[in-house]
Amino acid sequence: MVAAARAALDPAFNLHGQAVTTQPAGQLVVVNGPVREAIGLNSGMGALGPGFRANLTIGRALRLLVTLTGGAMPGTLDRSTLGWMGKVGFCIAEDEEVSPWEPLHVERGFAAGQSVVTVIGSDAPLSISDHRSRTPEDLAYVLAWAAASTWSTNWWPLAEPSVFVICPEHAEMFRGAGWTKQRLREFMFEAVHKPARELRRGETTPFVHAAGPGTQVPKWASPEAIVLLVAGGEAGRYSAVLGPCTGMGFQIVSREVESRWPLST
Amino acid sequence: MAAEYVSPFDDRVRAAEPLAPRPASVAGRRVVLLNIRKNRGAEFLDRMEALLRAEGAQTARAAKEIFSKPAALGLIDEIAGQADLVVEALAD
Repeated sequence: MVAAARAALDPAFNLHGQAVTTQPAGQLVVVNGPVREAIGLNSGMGALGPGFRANLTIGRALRLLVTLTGGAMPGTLDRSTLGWMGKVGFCIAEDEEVSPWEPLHVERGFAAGQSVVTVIGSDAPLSISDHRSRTPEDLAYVLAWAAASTWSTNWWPLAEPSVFVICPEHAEMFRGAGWTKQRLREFMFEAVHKPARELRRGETTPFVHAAGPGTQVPKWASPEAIVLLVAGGEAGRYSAVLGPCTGMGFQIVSREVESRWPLST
Repeated sequence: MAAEYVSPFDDRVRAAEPLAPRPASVAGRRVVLLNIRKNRGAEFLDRMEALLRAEGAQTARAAKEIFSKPAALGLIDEIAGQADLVVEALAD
């Protein structure tokens, strides 16, 4: 919780903007490293849902910091039109043991043996069922296109991070085919493009307005806007994408958990 | 693209918001136009600036780092030190 608070209070995270925006955005807390097991964080079945005290406590405590200490209660400083239940609290752990890839904190420069909390401004999860793909290309295509309407149908490209939570069975397909995390990220980025003319309806971006009608516009500004995690139950081919919090100029922030477990008194 | 302006208020019927006190004239007054960096806010301020200058105002431009963060205290002090009036643009 202390590490989560330190991460969220880093000015680079712009918690102020996230807390007061009319967007639904909440703060996703991702925990990596040995502390997951030490405090009983769930990264398996129902990884994005209820049932585990450690996940719920950390997520809720951070939100109480935002609302009670920071004053961002709905209707006061928090101007979110709808919000979402993740603003009650949302802490997940990555299943590093099941993942075929380097975990999030290692990607971000930490050692595998460090315990690290990462905070990401994010929208609610959209579940992506795929029980039919038999190639990594088909699966990556389905996962990526599920995100096409995140934030807004024609708001392309997104500079801010979209978080994909890849379930173990999906992850296993990529492992079997030898796909690295970067290969998947780049495939997904390349897969989702549309000509600008098809995006000029309703809310769209200055980028689309400025582009020629036939210009291929990507859903994301770069492959790096795609964050990949592995979590979930061993059975069931359901991954999820969490759309971004946009326009805040925020960065993903990570902090090492400095407490040593078990606590010695 | 032709400029098109819409009210920043929501679409429901509502009582008029009270306006801040207006000066009798802007002629000779120093007006800072603050761009909060929402999309196209600068276009709105360009139009405001032209209208204010036509009325004899002296104008200057200022900008926040990003709309989603509070204005830096230094910027607020700077504006307060040089402006008689401030126009803050909220656009999207």
